[in-house]
Amino acid sequence: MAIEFIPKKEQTFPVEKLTFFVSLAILLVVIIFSVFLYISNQEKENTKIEIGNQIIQLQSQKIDELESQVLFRKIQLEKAKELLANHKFPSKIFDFLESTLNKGIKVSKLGIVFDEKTATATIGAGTADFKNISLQEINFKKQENLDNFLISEIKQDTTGNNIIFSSMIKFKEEFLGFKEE
Amino acid sequence: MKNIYTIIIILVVGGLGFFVAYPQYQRKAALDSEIEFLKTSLESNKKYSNELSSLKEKIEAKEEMQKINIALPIEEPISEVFRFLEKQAENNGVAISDIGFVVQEPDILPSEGQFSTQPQGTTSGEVVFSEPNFNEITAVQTQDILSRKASRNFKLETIKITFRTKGSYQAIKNFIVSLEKSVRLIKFASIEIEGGKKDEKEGKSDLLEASISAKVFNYKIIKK
Repeated sequence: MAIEFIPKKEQTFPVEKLTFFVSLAILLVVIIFSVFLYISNQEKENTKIEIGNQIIQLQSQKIDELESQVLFRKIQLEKAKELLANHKFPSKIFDFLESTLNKGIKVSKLGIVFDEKTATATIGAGTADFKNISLQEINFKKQENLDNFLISEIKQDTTGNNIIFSSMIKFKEEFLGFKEE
Repeated sequence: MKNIYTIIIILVVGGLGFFVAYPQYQRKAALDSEIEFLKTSLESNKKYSNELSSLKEKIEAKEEMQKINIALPIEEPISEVFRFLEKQAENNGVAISDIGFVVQEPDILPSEGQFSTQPQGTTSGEVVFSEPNFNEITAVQTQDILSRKASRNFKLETIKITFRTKGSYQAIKNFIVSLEKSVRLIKFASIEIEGGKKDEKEGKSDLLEASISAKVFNYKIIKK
């Protein structure tokens, strides 16, 4: 009786098989995870760019415009305050002359020049009597609102009936400021 | 044989993990942080923008601001100034003629002078600005705005106007009073009055002629 030699089927070690499949599974997981991360990152990049654009748009258009308008209002207000602080009331000069000039003096010409702080008035006037000019000088001297004054060019007019003269009056700085009524 | 495949797979997993998955993971963390920062920044910008809008509305709704807009208007055509002068002249019974104007470069005025004094007993239509409350701007970082916007140009044009008026002494005086008290800021430069010339038609001798030179202001906004 011949002994039949049947070769035994080689048995695969189960641990080796298990290791193979586990590593294969891990490979798949890593690939899927990597792809997922890549896609997710691409989306996040897009979101980042989109938010960045929104900020730039908001900053460069709306906020810049609003800031500029608010700042402009502030500048406008400050300028108005500055101009108002230096605002002059020329009518005070008219009131002053009405109350200060003697009745015997007739003004024929009045010029007022304003500078930043005060004003200077030049008057061309006539009167029938030298006394009026003298009284006028005394009257000017009494005035607290005058910085200085000058009466000059006193002479007779062409008819010889009147005395004409010029006067220059410089007002104090505070005089032409806000009206107190 | 399978051992070789397993080793290859493990090497590929290691390579993928180290060179692809980990950098992507790190990138994801960085992007998350950046997006979070940008979202916060966007929210804060939106909040700031809303604050500015509401502040702007509040400022513009103030009565003082409306007066200031008349006093120092923005982009107002010169014809409006002439119309204003003519209206004031008409109201006060003087004739106005020979109007001329020159637009000057920004007028630098002394910045001393406090805005603490207010006229007493003023009537309607006069230039009166109560101390406005600009403290609210502090809430939206005025200094920050100022420093960032300092280079922005707001050009204040000075328009020098000259004109002649004819009328009685009282009418000319009233006309000047109406100009000096008007909300539209007018800065007088000179006034010259000559009188006693006879009106040939009516034979009146009390008509005076005044030459007035003054300045008005107008804002030009130059956007960069």
